[in-house]
Amino acid sequence: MESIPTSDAQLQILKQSKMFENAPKSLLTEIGGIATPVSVKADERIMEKGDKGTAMYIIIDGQVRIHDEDLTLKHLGKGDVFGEMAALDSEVRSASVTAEVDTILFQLEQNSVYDILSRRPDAAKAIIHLLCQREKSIVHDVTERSFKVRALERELEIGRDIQARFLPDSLPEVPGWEIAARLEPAREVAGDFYDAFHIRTINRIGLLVGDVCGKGVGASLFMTLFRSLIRATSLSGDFRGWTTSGAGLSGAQNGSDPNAIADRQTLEDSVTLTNNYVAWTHGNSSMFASVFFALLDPKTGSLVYINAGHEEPVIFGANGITQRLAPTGPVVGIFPNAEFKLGTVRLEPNDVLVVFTDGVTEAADVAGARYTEERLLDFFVSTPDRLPTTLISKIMTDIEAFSAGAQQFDDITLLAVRRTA
Amino acid sequence: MTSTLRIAVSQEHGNAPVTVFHLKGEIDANTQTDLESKAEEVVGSGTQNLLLDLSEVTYMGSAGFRAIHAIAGKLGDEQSTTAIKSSHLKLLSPSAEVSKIIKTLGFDSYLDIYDDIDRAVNSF
Repeated sequence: MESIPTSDAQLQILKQSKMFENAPKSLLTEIGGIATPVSVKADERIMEKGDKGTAMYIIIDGQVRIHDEDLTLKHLGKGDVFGEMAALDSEVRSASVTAEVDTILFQLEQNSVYDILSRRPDAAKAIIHLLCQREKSIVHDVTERSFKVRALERELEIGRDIQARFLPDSLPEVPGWEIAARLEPAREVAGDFYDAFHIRTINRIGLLVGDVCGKGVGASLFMTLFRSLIRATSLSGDFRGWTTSGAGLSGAQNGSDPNAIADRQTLEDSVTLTNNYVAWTHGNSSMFASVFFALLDPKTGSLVYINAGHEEPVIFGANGITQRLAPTGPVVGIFPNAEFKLGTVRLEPNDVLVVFTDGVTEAADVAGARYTEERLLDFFVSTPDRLPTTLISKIMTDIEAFSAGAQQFDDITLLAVRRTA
Repeated sequence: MTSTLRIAVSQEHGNAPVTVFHLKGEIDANTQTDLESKAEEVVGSGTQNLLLDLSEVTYMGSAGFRAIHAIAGKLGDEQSTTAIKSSHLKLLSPSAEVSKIIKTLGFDSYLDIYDDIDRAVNSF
C-alpha cells in the first residue's frame, strides 16, 4: 500500500459513494482533506481478519474481495466503503480484504473521522446512513441465505424420509425367534443399513447389516443401491412366484433338507451379483460396503453367512461369548469377481446373535477416546438381558453415557436375534 | 474433534522411480480429500508408482480406504473385470490397529504391504 496525491477526479468519486450521496459539497471537501489516497496492487492484502484496525476505506477505483480465508463473502467496487466497523468501534477486523485488481482507496483514520463527527452533524448523518445501508444489506443476505438453507433442509428431510423406507417397516415374526434392530444416523441421511425378511421359497430368514464407506448423502445413495440389490437378488425366487426352490428336487433325492443347498446358493449368488454389479457399473465411484448377510433356518437354528469385510458379529449365550463370525471375503462393490466364502454356525436355544457397525465401537467421547470393541464385548458378558429390544436399548444407552454429549460422527446400527426355543 | 493429516512427499529410486507419501494423522472423511488431491497432483506431474507410508497414521476409516481405491484407479489399475493386486500403489508399515482394519475390509488381498521401505521401494 503506498500513498499517492489527491486529485479532483478522486473527490468526484466520493460524491458517487452511497455513503455521501446526500452530503453537501463542503463535507466532501473536508473528507477529501483528511483522506490519504493509497494505491494497492492486485492480490495485495489490505487487512487481515483479527487484526486491530484503526482506518476505514472508500474505494476510489478498482475492486476488492471481502473474505474469510478461502471463502469469499462479497466483492466491492468504486464508491463502496469497508473497514468502518473496526475503525468506528476499535474492534478487530471481522474479515480479510484483498485487492482483486490494482485499486485506489481513500484511507480515513479513526481520529480524523471522530474529529469531523464531533463537529459536523452532516458527517454523523452520512455515517448513520452508511451503517443503515449496511444493516439493510446484511438483513437481505441473511434472509436470502435462510431461504436457501431452509430449501436444502427440506430436501434433506425428504431424502431422510425416503431413505427410512429403505429400511423394513417391521421385522419378521418367527415362532421361536426374537429379532430387533436399530439404526441411529449421524447426519440427516445414513450410509448404514439393515434388513430382515422371510424368503419363502427356501424358508429362510435373511438377516442383513451393511455399512457404506463414508457418510452423508453420497453414502446414503449407495446404501439404497446395496440394500435393494441384496434384497432383490435373494428374493428373486419369491418374486417369480415360486413356492419351493429349484434346488429342492435334487436336494430331496439324498434325503437331506433340500433348502440346505438352495440357501447356500442364494446367499452366494446374492452377494456375488451385488458385488459384481456395483464394481462393474459404479467402480469409478470407489464406493463400497461392508456387509454381513446371513440366512437363518428357523427350524434348526442353522445360520449360513457371508461376512464381507464387516465387523465380526458376536454370538453369546448363558456362558458368555461363544463365537465371533470373522470376515469370509472382502468388502462389496469395488473388487470385481471377489471370492466370498460361506460360514456356518448354529444358534442354540437362548443364544443371541448381535450384528453391529463400527459406529458402535468407534463412538467417541469429547476427548476423542473410542467406545471400543472390548467395551462392547464386556457389555455382552456382563448383561443379564437377552431380549433383543432391551439389549439394543441398553447398548445405545451405554454408548450415550460413554460419549457424554460428544457429537455422533458415524451411523450406529445394531441387529440382534435370539433363539427362544 | 477435527482430524488432521499431514502429507510429506519424497522421491525414491529403486528399479523405477517411486513417490512416497509420509502420512501423519488420521485418514477419515475429513482428510481423505487431502490425500486424494495430493495423489492427483503427483500423478498429474508424472508419478507412476506411489508408496503410502502409514507408520504415523493413527486412524484410518472407511473413507480412507475409498481414497486408496480411487488412487489405485488413478495409477492405472482400474476397470479390470477381475480385481488383481495393484502394481503401482503399495502400503508401508501400518500400525497394528490400521492393519486390523485393512485385513477386515479385505484390502490385504489387493494391496501389497511392506514393513521395510527399501524392500517396498524395490518392489515396484
